[in-house]
Amino acid sequence: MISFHKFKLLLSSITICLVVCISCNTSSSSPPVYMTFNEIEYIIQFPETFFLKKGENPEIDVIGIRDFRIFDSIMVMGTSNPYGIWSFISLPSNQKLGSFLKRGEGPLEFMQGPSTSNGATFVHENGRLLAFLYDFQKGDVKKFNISQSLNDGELHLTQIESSLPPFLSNFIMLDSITYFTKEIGNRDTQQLRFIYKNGEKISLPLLDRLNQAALKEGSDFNILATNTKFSDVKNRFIEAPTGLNYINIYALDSSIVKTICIGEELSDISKIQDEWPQWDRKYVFVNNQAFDDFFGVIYVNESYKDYETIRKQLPSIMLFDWEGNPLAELKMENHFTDFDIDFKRQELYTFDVHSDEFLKFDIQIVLQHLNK
Amino acid sequence: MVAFGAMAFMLMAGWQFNIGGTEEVFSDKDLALENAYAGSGNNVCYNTITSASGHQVRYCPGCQFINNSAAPWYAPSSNC
Repeated sequence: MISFHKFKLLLSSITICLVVCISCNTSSSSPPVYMTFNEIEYIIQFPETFFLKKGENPEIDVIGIRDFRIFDSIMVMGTSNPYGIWSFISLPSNQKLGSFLKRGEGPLEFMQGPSTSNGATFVHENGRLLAFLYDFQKGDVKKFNISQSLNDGELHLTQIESSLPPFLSNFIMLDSITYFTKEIGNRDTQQLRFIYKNGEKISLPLLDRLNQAALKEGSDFNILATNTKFSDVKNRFIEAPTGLNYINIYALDSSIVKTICIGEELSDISKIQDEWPQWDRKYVFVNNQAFDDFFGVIYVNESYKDYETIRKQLPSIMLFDWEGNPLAELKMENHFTDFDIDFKRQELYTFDVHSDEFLKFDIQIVLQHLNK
Repeated sequence: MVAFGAMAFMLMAGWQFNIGGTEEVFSDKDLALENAYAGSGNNVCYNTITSASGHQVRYCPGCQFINNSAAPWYAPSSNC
């Protein structure tokens, strides 16, 4: 009969063997997961690089700015002011034109936002500037007649028919009855893109392809977060993940469906969730912007740990044409989280939500070069 | 195999340090305090958030999603 000490020794040996076997078994790691299309182009360098030195302070007298957009000679700023969430100034005089939209729980008030760069679709209609605003908390859409509100000095805001869920992570109004949306779903493991047309939720194969990217339950769903912009001139979307090193460009009619990767290797979602602790995960593309002839992304590529504390990595703005070809890289000396271009005066504006620094740069040479 | 290994390891550890599996580790008061602090839901939330375009995070007071926000890497999570 086996003695107590021998049995204890045997069990210890089995335990050690199992621990060694488990630690040596590296073949059980998860297969790579990508949120890409079949056609992938790798961008190793840009044909042109411009160095934009420290910009000029545009002296904008608005406090609590979160984000901004420029339309012709109007700058729209999303702010934290609860009595005028959006502020308007004219360019280049910086004259205040008014502040509208209130924070609150009333039918025409907003509990959050709306952000000017992510959550609103701006359109020009019969010479008027309008914005369609997604209410993140309630899921409804409101039509904000900006031109008329600035003219009359009073808010012209109406609720329009929509059947959208709340808490969408992306919202773009494509026409009066069609919306592009992205929502967190499947127990927080996926970010799902849909088209809503006349209130009906529609799946498209090209969107399903991106929707397939899934995390393990309990992972941070922001690993799949993206900033999506749409060009109504080109009818194309750009979707830049905040933590992955590639950008998806697509049209709903599938006339273009491709991925461009910055570097030689795609970010593997599986590796990020399994092997990278949160502080080592990266902010790759902080924001993006769509223009008529090209689009731009803010490229940082810095770990959460550094980006949220010391910010060592200076950002650049990478410009691409709508086929995904690299045009130019603008190397910057300041940190920023948002940018836009005043094409009339050929000036680039940058804003940093963490430091409140607003700067503008003369980019006449850059735009001349892009127009060649 | 992993489960068996873990079970064997725990049995060994219990044997070595004489920890009984049926001993009371937390009192009801401890558990009630923990639940009160952490909330009773299953959603991960944060009390400290920062701006991040395209991200969303649940903010503990109210357990609501906040758009264009993320939890800093150093922020402890809770449940709501």
